[in-house]
Amino acid sequence: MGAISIEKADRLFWLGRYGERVLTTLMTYFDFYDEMIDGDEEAYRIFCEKIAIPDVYGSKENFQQRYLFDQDDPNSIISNMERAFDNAVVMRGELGTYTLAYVQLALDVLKGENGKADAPVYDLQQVIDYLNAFWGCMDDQVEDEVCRNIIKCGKYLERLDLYMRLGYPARSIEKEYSKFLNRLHRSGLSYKKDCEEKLTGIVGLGEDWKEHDKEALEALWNLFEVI
Amino acid sequence: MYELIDHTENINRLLARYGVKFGIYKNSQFHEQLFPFDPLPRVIEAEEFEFLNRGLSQRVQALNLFLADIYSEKKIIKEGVIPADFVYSSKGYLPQCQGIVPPGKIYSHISGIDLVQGKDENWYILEDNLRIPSGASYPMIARELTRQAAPSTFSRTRIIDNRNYAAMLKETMDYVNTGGINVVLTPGRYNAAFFEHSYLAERSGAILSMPQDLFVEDNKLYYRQYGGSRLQVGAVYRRLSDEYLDPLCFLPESLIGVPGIMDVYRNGNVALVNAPGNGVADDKGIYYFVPHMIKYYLGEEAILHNAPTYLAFYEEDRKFILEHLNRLVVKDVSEAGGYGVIFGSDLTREKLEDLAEVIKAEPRRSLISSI
Repeated sequence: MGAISIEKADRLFWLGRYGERVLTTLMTYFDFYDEMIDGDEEAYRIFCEKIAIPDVYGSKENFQQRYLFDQDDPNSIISNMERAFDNAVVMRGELGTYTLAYVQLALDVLKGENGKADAPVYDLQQVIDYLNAFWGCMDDQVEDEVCRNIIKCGKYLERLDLYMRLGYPARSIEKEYSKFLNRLHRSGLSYKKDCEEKLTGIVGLGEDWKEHDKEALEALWNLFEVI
Repeated sequence: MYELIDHTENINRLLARYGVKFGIYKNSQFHEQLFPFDPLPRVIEAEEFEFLNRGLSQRVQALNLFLADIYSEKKIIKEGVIPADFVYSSKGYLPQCQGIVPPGKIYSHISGIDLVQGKDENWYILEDNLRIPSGASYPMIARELTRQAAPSTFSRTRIIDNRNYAAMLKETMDYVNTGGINVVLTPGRYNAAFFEHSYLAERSGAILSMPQDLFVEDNKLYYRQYGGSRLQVGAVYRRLSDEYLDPLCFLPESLIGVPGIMDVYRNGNVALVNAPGNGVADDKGIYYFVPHMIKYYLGEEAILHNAPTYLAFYEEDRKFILEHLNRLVVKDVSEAGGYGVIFGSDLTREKLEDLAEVIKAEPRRSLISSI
């Protein structure tokens, strides 16, 4: 195991969370964007409600612009991408310059498209491509297993959180939970066993997990003692 | 070599991809800028390079001997080679370093010596930087990219490879390491040279550390791991200034230092790269005396000369300065980084007279160069 300080473990974990937040919310955004083209113009309200961000947008057009590119909106895609980058840039030694470059490139696309995207789904596919390249490169290039496990702990925790909020089917939740536990147990991070047991119980209920979604999310949020 | 010009845009794009940036503070806000790539290299031929290599090695060797002397017996002062006033009034002289012998007896592990080529084609030393010289990472990564952009330039011509810098940095740290890991200590993400800190750590295999990652216990320095364990640190390539390094020894208000690190260093339990207190040797006033140091410590004439320089402290020099002030460059010895530099040719007669009065009143403060 390499030398990983508390600060670095925290950075790795949050890099995983913010990176995944951008990836999953962007892909979900695409679905809602499609719905708003010729269907429900106010579908963005459901999107905001599902991922628990305040609806401060007021119109479809404002949402499409601000949610993607407004750096002053703490919930926007670009703000989350900046946070991912801020956590990644201090981890150059662990990630490597070539892996880190994909986070830089994803951020640069968002900054470059800021305010001028008339076909955002087409343009922003590049952000998804770069983030997927980052995950692949990270898996291939980062030598330290603990380092990879901590990033993936953050990634899968965020994915579970979003999938649960978005009401994904049980099979998807089970799959992501299994991946999360696999990393959690090998990460060396300190966590609460009772929260894990509760989550395992709820996820094991199959489609009935949705009846306990609030409990599941609460157990997920309280899982870690330090981070 | 002309391929480099054709590929300038590509190289700049790759520099952006890899986050090759430097930070500046403007209106108290931190901004990062890409490091611009200039495709036109300054070509130094092998023979000239070898001459510079010998001259710079000689100079750095003498400066190291000066630092060893000045923080111990101070023979160079006692024997009247350098006036005591120039040492003790230097901001870079740190009495806290008196008597400390650094591991390997090396003070300036990394030296940034500024060179300038005059119209007469001769090379001159413009200044010495022995505290925390910065900038090695940029030519390293630029070389990597220029080799990709213009491979024929490198296959047709034998060009010295600079990409072994990180390996040399590791070798240097390993040589002085007192037992433990090597770390690069950065003040943090918002330091102007953060890219360099993180890149050199990555390439040299050292651990990039923030001040809060390090702590002192039982007269040893440790790196705090997240699981509660710790690793002993044997060498610190520190990229923060002397005054912020240890609040228990220097500025008590420093929030970016490591309390107690100077005690560990004093006891020989960690190497600090570069050694604290080096500022006395790269002081603009001391610069004037480096050729004297070379003669004194090495018994040799300086291979590389200082830019023609006059010190107002000496009467003969002062007379020359006052007679030719409108053609000279005046530097305040207490300033650094380009501050306190006045070009006589830019001044009105009235301002020149004012400057002459300052020089007469405070002759220790002014160093005058003809370049």
